[in-house]
Amino acid sequence: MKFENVLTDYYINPKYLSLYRLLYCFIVLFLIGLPSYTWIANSLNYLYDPPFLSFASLFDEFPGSWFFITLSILNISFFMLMFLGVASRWTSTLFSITCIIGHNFWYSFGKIDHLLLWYLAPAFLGFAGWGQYFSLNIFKKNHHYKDIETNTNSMLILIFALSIGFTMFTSAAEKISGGWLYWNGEAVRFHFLRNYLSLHRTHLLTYPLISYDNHVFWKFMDYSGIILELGFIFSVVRINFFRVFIAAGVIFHVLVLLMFNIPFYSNLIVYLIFIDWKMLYEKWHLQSVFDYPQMQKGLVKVMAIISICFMVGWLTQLYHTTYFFTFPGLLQFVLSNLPISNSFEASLSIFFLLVLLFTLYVLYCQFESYIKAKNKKFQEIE
Amino acid sequence: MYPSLVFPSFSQAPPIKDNIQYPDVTLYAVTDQNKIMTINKESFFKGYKKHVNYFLGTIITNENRIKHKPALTKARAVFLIYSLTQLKKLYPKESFMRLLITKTIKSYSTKRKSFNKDISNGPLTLINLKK
Repeated sequence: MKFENVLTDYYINPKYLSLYRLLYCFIVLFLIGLPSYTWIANSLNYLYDPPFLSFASLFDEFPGSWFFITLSILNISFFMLMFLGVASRWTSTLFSITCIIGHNFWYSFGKIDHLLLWYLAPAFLGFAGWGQYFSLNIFKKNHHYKDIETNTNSMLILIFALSIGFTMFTSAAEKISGGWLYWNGEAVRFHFLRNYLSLHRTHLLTYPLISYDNHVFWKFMDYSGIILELGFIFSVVRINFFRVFIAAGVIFHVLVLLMFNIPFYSNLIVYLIFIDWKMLYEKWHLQSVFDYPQMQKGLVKVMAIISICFMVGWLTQLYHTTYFFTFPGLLQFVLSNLPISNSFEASLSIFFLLVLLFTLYVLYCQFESYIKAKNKKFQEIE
Repeated sequence: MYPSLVFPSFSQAPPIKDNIQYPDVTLYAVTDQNKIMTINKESFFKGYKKHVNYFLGTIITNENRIKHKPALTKARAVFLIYSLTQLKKLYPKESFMRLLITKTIKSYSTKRKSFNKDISNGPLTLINLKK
């Protein structure tokens, strides 16, 4: 296997990456919202315990509210500019940086969530060309699409795929050293019960499983989790293997949501980078959009209106109160007006369902095109 | 460390034979009548549901190191005022003198589907709320 072949596998045409940029931003705008950092300023300094070796550890206590308000406004602004493809290399990177700084303080209470990959992705993809299409630049006179070197594009995407694999690998290594492979231990069941009893995560599939006492079932869950997490990094050698793990990863995270009530949405967002965009592009006849600048211009105008509406809505919320965890997505906003106890978690659950359905659809399409190709080959031989 | 691409999670894998045991932190408040009341951690740290156990861990650490770190004194004073305010909101008729934090091992019987008696684990942390 040649490294050049692996690299070629990971090349994603900037057209498709730009589509992914839209998908990424629409997921944020409509489904999951953007994190707000302003609530941190109201926290007790006695609880300040920043992670060792982090930006936040340079401070003795939480910075003042002006710091978090400025950070939140910058974060929203960079996000909107990135959405509109304005100086996308830099706005994407700055969006990632402001998210990382904000989360440094977010995790200064001792608990670190690993929702890192979704806001690390723009720093990679900005330089891989995801801001090329559907950007405000299209209105510039003498606008032309800049060439992104194929190697740069595929190298950045390969490194990002390796990053996903590495995070999964470290998680598996920790589990193996904790004894997940020993036949007598029941790791998934232990953490499931602990989540249920101690953290009161008692929704979705938890109730029927609480009294399920089948050692083989729980051991199957332990082993399949380890195989998935270990396999990710090795599957990077072939994009098709990696896609199999991506599909399995989606099912894994949906199961984690159903059993543990943990909506680990970060990975679901970045898995979507690796779907077969070319196949979807052809199946959905998207060339009709890309080939007509007028269509692109119309779409960018709609995007500009959407971004202005969200910017105004989110900044208005900031003006009224500083104590909230997220600038809500549209769905969360709608759900918050219904009698639902946690609109954020409800909108995340809907996001999970949509990603699961989309994954199944993509798998079906790939299976269909595989059968077609096989039939064609068969007919040619005949 | 943060940010890093090392994602440790859910590493324990104990065998489960009728019981499961896991560490927990419990918060109590002591009234001026020396009555000890269990405080709902999530209500006490309203809005920070996911972080409550980490908060209590940090408080235990800070209580132990405050003698060597006088810079914490001001932050501690604010925390005491916060505690009194929260307790007053939760139990308006009681007057509280102290907070008590204990580390325990919770034990749950999967056969009977009920909790066994807690097993005490580690020193108690007592915080005087009033001078």
